[in-house]
Amino acid sequence: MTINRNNYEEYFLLYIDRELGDAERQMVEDFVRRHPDLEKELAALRQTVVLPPDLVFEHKEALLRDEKERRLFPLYLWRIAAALLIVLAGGWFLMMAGKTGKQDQPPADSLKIAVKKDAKHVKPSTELKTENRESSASAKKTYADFPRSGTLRKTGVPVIRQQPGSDLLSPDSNPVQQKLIAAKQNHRNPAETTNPHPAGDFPQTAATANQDNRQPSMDLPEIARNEMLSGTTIPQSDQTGKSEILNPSTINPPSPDSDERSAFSKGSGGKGQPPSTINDQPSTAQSILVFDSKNKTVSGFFKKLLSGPPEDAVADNHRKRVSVSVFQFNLKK
Amino acid sequence: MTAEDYNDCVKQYADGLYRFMLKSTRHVEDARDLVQSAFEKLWEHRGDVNALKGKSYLFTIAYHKMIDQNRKSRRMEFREILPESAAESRPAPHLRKVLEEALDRLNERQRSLVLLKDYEGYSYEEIGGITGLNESQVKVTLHRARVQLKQYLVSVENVL
Repeated sequence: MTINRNNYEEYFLLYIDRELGDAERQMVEDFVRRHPDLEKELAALRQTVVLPPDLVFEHKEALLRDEKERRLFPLYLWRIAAALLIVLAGGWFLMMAGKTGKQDQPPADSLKIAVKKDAKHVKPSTELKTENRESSASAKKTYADFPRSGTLRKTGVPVIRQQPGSDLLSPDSNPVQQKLIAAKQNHRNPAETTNPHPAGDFPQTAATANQDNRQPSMDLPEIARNEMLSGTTIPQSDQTGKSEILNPSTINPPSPDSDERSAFSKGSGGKGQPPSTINDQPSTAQSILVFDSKNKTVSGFFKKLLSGPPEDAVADNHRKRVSVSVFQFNLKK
Repeated sequence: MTAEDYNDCVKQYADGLYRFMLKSTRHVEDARDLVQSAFEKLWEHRGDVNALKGKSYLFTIAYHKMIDQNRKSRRMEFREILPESAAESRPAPHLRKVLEEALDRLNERQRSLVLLKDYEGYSYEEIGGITGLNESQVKVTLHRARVQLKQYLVSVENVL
């Protein structure tokens, strides 16, 4: 479509409204040059274009907005809330961690013992002491009534009871103690013993441990604890024939054929064998028996370190729990 | 549209919108209120408005608010005369003054379309988007307004 005298007004209006392309604009301008009488018409239409006045809106500052200031909850409130949340979460975590640690934390000494036994350390003197303390603590409740039963005291087993301030296995102790010392000394010298364990497998024995004389005084468990730690068998026989210290469970477990071994020694009393204690407990379980041939009683205790073998405990960092059982059998009919 | 985009719209389009509203309503307070109302609307819906469409959004809102306001109050008949100094900051030439008079003689739609076209340079299509008219209606309305203005100018020149 081209411009002509019939439609020029529409083209002129589109021209001043800048709605035409370059080619059409050129066409309009050429048309006007060819028709000068219409140039005035185009000029009149151009005058209808309204130029914008220099008006300024004087309240622009009131229209400006700040994202932060217009928040329903200003950003600083969110920051405070986040900080409080972090603090509360941290406190709760620490509190729960503390509780869990207390619940799962085994006696640290027990775990040390497990490690030492697993590593076959020969020098558990420090750990031995701590274990003794732990064992004492663990066994206190259990053994609390043991002396009060009167059985051991009446049966004259003073060797088991260490007087406060005295050396449990001092040379002037009773014969049972002397035998204990002898047995320990045998353990120290593998050549003189049939113990299949090398000397290095045995941690410090009761006698050695008590050389420091730093363990808290305790009755029967004092020996028992040391026996448990040593893992050795101390079949003892009272020279008087009145009592024996039997330790069936401490027969060294690594040998399969020794697992079923009864540790009851043939006491001088010799009146019947006390019920044999089967040594099918894991290596973490120890026991000690005291046979009173005079009164025909067998007393003792069992200790078991629960929650698996020591190596697992070390690997998994499992916590241990010591379970101690005290018993006394009356063999009288 | 972010707050920064919004503030850019304020800086770039507030003056033009105010001119458009002032020339359309010929009332300073009404024009100011309409501008503020349009920007308030833009701020409320800034999340839904493309930053590139801010200007047309403002003019659309302002235009329709002005139409609604005029329909309700019909104050166009009783509006105060726009002060000369407020209408233009510089002395207007004679032709310019006559053109203003001619513009006042247009109806509301014609005037708005002329202002949108001449002040803001919108195309027919864009004016149609703002006013809700189709492109042909914009074109026809604008042409009629131009012819009317021209006739007024010619008549005044003939008198002078």
